[in-house]
Amino acid sequence: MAQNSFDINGYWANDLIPNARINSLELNQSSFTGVRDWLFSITYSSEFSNKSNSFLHQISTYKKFNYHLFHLRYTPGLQKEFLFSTGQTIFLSDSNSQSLKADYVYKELFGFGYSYSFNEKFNAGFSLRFFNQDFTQEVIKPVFSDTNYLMIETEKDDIDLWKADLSFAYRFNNNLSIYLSSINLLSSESKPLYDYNRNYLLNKERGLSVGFSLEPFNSTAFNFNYESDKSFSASFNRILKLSFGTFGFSLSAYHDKYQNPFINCLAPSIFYSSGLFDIVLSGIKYSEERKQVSSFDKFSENGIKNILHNQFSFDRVNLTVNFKLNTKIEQRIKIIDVEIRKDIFPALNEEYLDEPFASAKVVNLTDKILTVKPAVKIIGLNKEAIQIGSYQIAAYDTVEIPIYAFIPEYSEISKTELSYAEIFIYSASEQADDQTQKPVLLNNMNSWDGQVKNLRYFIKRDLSNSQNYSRQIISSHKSELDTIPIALSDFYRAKLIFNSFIKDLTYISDPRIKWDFVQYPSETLKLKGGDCDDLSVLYSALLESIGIETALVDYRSRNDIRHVNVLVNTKLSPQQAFLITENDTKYFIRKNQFGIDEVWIAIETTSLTDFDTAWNLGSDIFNDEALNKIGLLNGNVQIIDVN
Amino acid sequence: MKKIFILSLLFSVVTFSQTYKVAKVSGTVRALTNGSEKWIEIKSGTELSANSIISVEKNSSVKISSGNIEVTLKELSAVTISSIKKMSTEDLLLALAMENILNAPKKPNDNKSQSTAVYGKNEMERNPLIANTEFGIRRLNGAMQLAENGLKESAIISAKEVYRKYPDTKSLASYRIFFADILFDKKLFEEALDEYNDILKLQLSNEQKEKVTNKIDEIKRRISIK
Repeated sequence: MAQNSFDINGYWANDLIPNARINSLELNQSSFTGVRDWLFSITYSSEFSNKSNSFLHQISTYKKFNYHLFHLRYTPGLQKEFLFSTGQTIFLSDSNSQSLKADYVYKELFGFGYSYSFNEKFNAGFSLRFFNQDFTQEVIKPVFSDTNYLMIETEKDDIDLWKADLSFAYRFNNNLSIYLSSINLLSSESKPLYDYNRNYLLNKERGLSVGFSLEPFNSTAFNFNYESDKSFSASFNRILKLSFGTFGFSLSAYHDKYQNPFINCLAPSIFYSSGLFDIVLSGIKYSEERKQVSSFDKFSENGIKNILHNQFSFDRVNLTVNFKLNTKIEQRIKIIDVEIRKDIFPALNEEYLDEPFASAKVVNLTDKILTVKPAVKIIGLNKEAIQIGSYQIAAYDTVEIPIYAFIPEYSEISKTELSYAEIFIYSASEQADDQTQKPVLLNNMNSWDGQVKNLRYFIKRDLSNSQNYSRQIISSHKSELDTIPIALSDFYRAKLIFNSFIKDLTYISDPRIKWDFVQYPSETLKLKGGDCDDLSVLYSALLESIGIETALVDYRSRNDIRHVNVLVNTKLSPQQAFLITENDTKYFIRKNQFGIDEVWIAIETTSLTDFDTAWNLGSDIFNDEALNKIGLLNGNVQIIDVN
Repeated sequence: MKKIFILSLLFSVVTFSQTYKVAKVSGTVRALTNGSEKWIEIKSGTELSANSIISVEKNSSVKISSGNIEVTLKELSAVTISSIKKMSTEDLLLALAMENILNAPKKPNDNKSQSTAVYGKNEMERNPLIANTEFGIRRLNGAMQLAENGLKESAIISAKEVYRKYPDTKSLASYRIFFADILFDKKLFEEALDEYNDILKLQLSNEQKEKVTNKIDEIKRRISIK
């Protein structure tokens, strides 16, 4: 007998250096999670017996498909041979004698493992291993013929054995993982030809193995494993991450119930890991001196459970090299979660370049500072993912990065519907490190988010149509405008345009009484009506298109019903204001960007009467709400310049 | 219906706010009401809306009442009716803060309309014609009389509005000093100091200069004690 969970490279925590362990089939198939794509491993092992046998110990390969990991292992070096004298001797005629021998060879030839990762915390797996037991014994058989004589015959027994086990791993957090595996859960063995060989078959007693890995710091782990036959192992791992790779050191101690002394052996190992390969140099040093010759009774009494590690094993030195072949890009950034902050209003296209519509919580999985570039593709809006912005993330840091959307200027979204935003995070290559998909409401082109500042997008969208319309009006009043002092040009053009377009319009209340639908200027002209935001957008667009500066005034003093009207810059100086009015309550002074005072007037577009009435009404509202009630200070009134 | 609803709501602000009544008229007093461009002569008992402007001609006066406020305006003065109101010092500070918002230059933008139309006029092309400073002085007189009637905070705000709409009146030192003194008396030293420093840049008589300088020294002394 011998403990089952014995690794030729020592007892390593998988989370620390996942590729250090090579015989996960014996210990815990489920916990082998470090392979990203392909891994090829080869181990050369030398046992310090008098024969000084050296073997190619194992060749194995791993392949990971998403959450599935496959492991195939060929182990030509995993064998143990016992040669005994049967106690029978034949004295030959020439006075020589010949002792009869029995030879017991145990081999584990190959194994297969599979594990599945249910989530970040829980993995499960199984292993299937094939053994061969080749027993030969010399026996004396009498031969009866004319002359009776004895001859030596070899009785050969070739016994195959399959073993299958299950294993589970659960990770509580970054510091603690636990493992559970069966020992000899299922086995299938061919029948020995000779009954006396039954006593020397590999032990298949069922058992359980439980263990944990405790990582109090990022680079240190303590591991402990206990088997139901009261054997245990413990180890200490320490790694050092450098710019050119990772170094690791491990010291494992083993207590096998059926070996002496209490701590039977120590297994030191050192490890170097780079992006392309790993090298592990390990040794096994038994506490007691192992004898080359031992009694048959000892062998037959305890039998053999573990070919590699048993009471007849010798000190070893091993060299393992892993080659990593990654056809996939190494994931360096992981998306933890994405929060959609606002719906998509295609009309407000530029707004999404200034304000993120979503935020992604991402973690840098590497020990280096990374520059990450988020990209987003909104189904129904973008043909491909658009990268906007780049951010630096410190090593192992988790941060929230803004996600901006790119909305093509001439999008035509006629219907509001639920769409999806595909969010990609890139770090270095053309392949995204991670991606996710979130539902997002994609509004139609007339939808508006209720923020008056964003009405400017509706104003600007078909400025050329607005310009044609305004120019037609101006042209038809050319002779009238020619007689007006040049200083009054903007004021009179604003007045003419208002009086021309307003006579054809009707005020139509938005039936939804919600600030969610705005008509473009051309639509309002075509439909011959609109509500206050539609009319304000139209008037502002008509003036802006011919170079008359406007601003929208957002009145928010009433929570349920908000109102919008228009301020027009007459470009007059305060000293010239009397040219348009004697009533100084009807204009307001605003400084332009050069600090020069200019006369602005408020126009209430919903009056739908004439310019003078709309001006009077606009002035009253502005005086009351913005000035007398100091709405401009307390935020109830906001002036939003269109340009 | 929404139009009617919105407009009625908006008008209700005016309707339900204070009513102003002309209590007594002596001589000629005119008013611009409801955004009108035509001055009308007012008589005792006339009710005025908040946004009306009242102008008192030479050798005339008018008494206006609103609730428990009664204001007498003397000759050559003009006020907006809505400025006849009692304000606390806190209200004054808020109103002064809003003045700063109104006086802040528009932020430059790099997203100008691509219109091919001719934009506005070059500043050099402007024809200032005749500045209507005379009415601005009436406005300042009106603001002074608001102060003399005990509505000092409202007087300050009225004066600020006059300076914005009639910028030539900013050079009239005596008025400037009068309103700066009100700020000083209200212990709004920082606001007063800004104003006195600005006044010092004007052409002042020796007496005015000495007074303003003394005030500045006094404010600095008081601020340093704090």
